[in-house]
Amino acid sequence: MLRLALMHISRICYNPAIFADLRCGTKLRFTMDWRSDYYIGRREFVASVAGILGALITLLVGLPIIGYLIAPALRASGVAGWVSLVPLSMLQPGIPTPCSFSRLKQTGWKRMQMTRTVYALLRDSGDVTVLSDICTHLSCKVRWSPERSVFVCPCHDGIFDREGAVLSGPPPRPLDRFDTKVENGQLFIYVED
Amino acid sequence: MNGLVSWLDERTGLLTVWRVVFERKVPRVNWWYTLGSASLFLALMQAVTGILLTMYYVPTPEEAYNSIQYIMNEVAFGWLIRGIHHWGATLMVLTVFLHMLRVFYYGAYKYPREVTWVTGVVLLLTTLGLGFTGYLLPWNQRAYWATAVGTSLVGTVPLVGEFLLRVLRGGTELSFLTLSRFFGAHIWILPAILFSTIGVHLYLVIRNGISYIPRRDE
Repeated sequence: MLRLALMHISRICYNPAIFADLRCGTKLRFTMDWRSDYYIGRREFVASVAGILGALITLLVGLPIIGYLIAPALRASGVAGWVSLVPLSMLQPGIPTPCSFSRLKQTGWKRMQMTRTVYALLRDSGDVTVLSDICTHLSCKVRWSPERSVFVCPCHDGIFDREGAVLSGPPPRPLDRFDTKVENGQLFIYVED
Repeated sequence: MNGLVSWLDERTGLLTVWRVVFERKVPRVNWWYTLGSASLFLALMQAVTGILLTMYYVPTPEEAYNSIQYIMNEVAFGWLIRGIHHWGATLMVLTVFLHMLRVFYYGAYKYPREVTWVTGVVLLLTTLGLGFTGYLLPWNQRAYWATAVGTSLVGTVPLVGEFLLRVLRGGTELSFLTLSRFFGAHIWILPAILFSTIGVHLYLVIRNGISYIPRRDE
């Protein structure tokens, strides 16, 4: 194994094509061909050892840096689960009602109460749809406009109807919906993160 | 490879720079002459790891300590990055100081290298300043009281001491303002001074060449 490695190194050391590149200064301009040019000199040896050590150190620190930078992206910030939203009796049929809920979320070293708003729509038939207030275009917050009876996104004029379907503007798909369930007249939604 | 180098050289003079910087003539010297390069290497390491630490570190009394706990325990290789910064700081003070002793005992500060020496003094003081301001940033008991003592020393200066103390602390007490201004000094002001002075220092080292080891009769 060691013999093989040494043979390999010596082949590199005596290979003029490789060291012709490394030589600069006088030798580059002095075109006469000396046999000694094909041996590795002390200067070249020190230069390549320094280069290899430098590359090793860069790798040794450089690879951990990648992990260091992407670390927060690799952890979950919340836990999925059912969240109690609002008693059904509070909802006015046919009009999306903003409902807020808070959850503890882990952000970095802090556990923080994060408050979100969703829109609950109780239909005349009695079933409920809960819409996210996050625009499907570029995640601005949409707002229910009672005068116009539409959801309006203030960023790029995305317009959604009361069911969350896109009426105009850039949003590529309807507003996201939550899974819902009703227990003892209380509306629950399933929150993913 | 050669083609690229000569293409670049024709347009930038890169080879000349390379020759002047790396192929300059040096006298036969010993290992003590590597302390300057060691200090430079450590300074660059401190810059790299320091920049990375600012990604997670929060310079407020409420968050500083917790953010460092987070770096040490939660972030991948955070212990490594902070470890290098922590121990590199200590080592850098050591190498810079030994570098000064080498220059002093070999008389390398004499003509024509006086200006190099003066910039070196600036570098030594800046390094100590970086160490002092960085020491407060973990905002633990040791950091807090070390800075309380360290800034109090300035207060003993006659006449202007009390004023200097308030400038240093950003008020009469050690507070969030002290932490904030130490952070600013540590990551912007002092590194700017350090690296621009390193530039001048290196220029002078290359321009004047390095001194040889003095002989017995000198």
